[in-house]
Amino acid sequence: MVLFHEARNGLRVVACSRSAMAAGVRRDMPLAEARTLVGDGRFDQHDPSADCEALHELGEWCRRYTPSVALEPMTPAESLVLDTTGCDHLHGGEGPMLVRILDEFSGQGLSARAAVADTLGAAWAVVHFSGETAVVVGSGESIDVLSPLPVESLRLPSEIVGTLRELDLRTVGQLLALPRDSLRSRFDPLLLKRIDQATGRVPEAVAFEHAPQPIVAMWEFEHPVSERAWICVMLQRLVDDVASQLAERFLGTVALECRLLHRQQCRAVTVGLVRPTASGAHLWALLELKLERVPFGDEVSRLQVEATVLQPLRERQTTLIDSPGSPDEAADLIERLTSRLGEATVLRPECVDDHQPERAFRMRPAIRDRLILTAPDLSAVRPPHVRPPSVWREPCRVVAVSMVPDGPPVRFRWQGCDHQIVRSWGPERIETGWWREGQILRDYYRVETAQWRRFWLFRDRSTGEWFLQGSFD
Amino acid sequence: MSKRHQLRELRRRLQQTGTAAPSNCHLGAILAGRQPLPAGTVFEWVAGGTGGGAENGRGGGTVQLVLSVVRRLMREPGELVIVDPNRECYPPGLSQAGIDLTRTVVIRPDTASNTASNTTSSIPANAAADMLWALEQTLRSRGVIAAVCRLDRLDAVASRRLQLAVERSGSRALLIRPAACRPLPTWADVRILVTPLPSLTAQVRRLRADVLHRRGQGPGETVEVELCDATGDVRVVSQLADPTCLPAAVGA
Repeated sequence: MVLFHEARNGLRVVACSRSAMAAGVRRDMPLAEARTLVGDGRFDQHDPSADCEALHELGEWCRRYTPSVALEPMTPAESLVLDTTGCDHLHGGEGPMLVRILDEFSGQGLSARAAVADTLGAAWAVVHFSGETAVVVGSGESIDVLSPLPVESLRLPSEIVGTLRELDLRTVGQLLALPRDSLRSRFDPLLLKRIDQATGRVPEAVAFEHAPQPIVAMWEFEHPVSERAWICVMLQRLVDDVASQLAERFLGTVALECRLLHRQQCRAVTVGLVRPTASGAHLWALLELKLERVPFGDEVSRLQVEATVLQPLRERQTTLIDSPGSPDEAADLIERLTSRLGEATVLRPECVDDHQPERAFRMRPAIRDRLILTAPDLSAVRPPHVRPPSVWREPCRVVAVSMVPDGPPVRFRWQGCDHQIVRSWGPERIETGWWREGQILRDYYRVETAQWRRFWLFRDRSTGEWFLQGSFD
Repeated sequence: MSKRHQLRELRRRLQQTGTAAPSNCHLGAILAGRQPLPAGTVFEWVAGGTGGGAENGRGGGTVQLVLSVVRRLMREPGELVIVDPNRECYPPGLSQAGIDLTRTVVIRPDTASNTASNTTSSIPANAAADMLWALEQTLRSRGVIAAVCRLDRLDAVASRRLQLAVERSGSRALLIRPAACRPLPTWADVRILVTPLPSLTAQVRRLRADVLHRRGQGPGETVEVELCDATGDVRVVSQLADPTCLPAAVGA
């Protein structure tokens, strides 16, 4: 895989996979050259904002090690900064903590390097230029560790690095040996600032994003209970508690998780919403619908209700006469239906640009649609060929007769009845490539029977069998 | 009664003020697009015809006719809900019929135990109950323009509940029923029999719609329409007009 971007001098490689690198692809190489080296590889445009977003998500995941996580204060950010002060002993020390972090990254299929140091500058330099995967720099050892590293490890712009190279200053140690006054007068002030930040002479500000306080309510029974009514009463109180916490913070939730715990067992029920709400009655109505289908079974000793996805509440002007067809009413309906029937039941259809009939559409859970359109949109692109409104899940094999080989059918038998075909239109030949799983080779016909009913048939060209795929009901 | 409840009741009555009585609607005008489907009504569309497939109405054009009526309703704000227990609803076909998929919700109750939906119409009892519950909830919502559902079985109590739900919300129910339900009583406002007729061209098919029942009245008018498979356009056939004019208009 190769990622490229549009540079001044054409399309250039930004990053590539190991296999591409083994084939000779290098960073900043022209894309055309990379294509000649890995012709069958995957080439995608580099999206820096997506990278940043993914790094941010990874940072959220790293809150399991420490609550203080931030992206490095550089543009573009490529590293995560974790303030592990006071957290390392929970993992058995700094060394074991690094090993555990790297193991868990590896478990996710991510290769990473990590370092612990007194300063962000020292940790950054060691991670990027020491060549080791995990390094723990002891307290007060930053200067010793930094000395043999190249000057690039000080996070300097290429202009300053170039000047230093011209003066044959290649390592941090060489820079540290020079008088500070001469560095201040001869070089950009950033050089001295970076040296001081790396050695700890001046502090470096890092904007840590602290995780929001979870909105959660819990109840522990004195003795385990199994009575459904009691559990529901307590759950309703907990939902009201969560709703009041939300209201205090002017927030709404679009996902509410309810956990029923007993000893080591935990049964979770999640309710999704289309738009954020802080209404306890609404949340409870949805949760109640969901709980109707959940067998409580064993005893429950602890209940926990948490608003898992928080969003700001939307303000809306109220009117005396609500107009029908309002988005709120539709959202309420989708939430109610989804709560009781499940996400996989309440769906939003979508056409997909694929000529294979079974793959020409997609169904997404309607609850995931945050946007409910109020204005009519009748500009949808229609399929180029005639398609029936009803198509069966699996094509139904039928016995059909053609007058000529590979010709249209003149009769077919289905559900114990003979259907005489008086008119047919086709064939519409649909084939998929050999690379697609379940390759199809089909000739489709629209047919009209002697009773003036219309069906959609196809002949499988690989076997010669006929199938009924749908009907113009 | 609190002021809040009084206001709610007032709103509801105001919403119903403009609702057309089903006895005033004309099928020909509805199918031709000159009159919208009245709000707060239940329409049953019985799939008629003869020969193979007549018992479940397959291939008879009833759904296409219903979609042509529904697509005109999509000018109003709100959602279209299709309850699809047999998992047959085909989005490219809906899109071709002019249905705006971004405002369409398809409800597919879990029918995992029913593996041969294309050969029978039997739906597991729990899925049937879910389907009716979902349909009733849908029809109670004022955020829904119309709900479309193929219902093979519907008892009188469930039918009445649906009719009350629609009446209260001002939505519309379009129920597609098999020919076997013709002699059964119904709470629907209008029951229409759709029968396929010999077609003219590949694109255009002809259907006859007979009003079997209208609330407070007996059988009513009969309308013949031409329906274009490719666009979903419907034209009411005039007995005096040249029947070849539509194929020429659609370029068939």
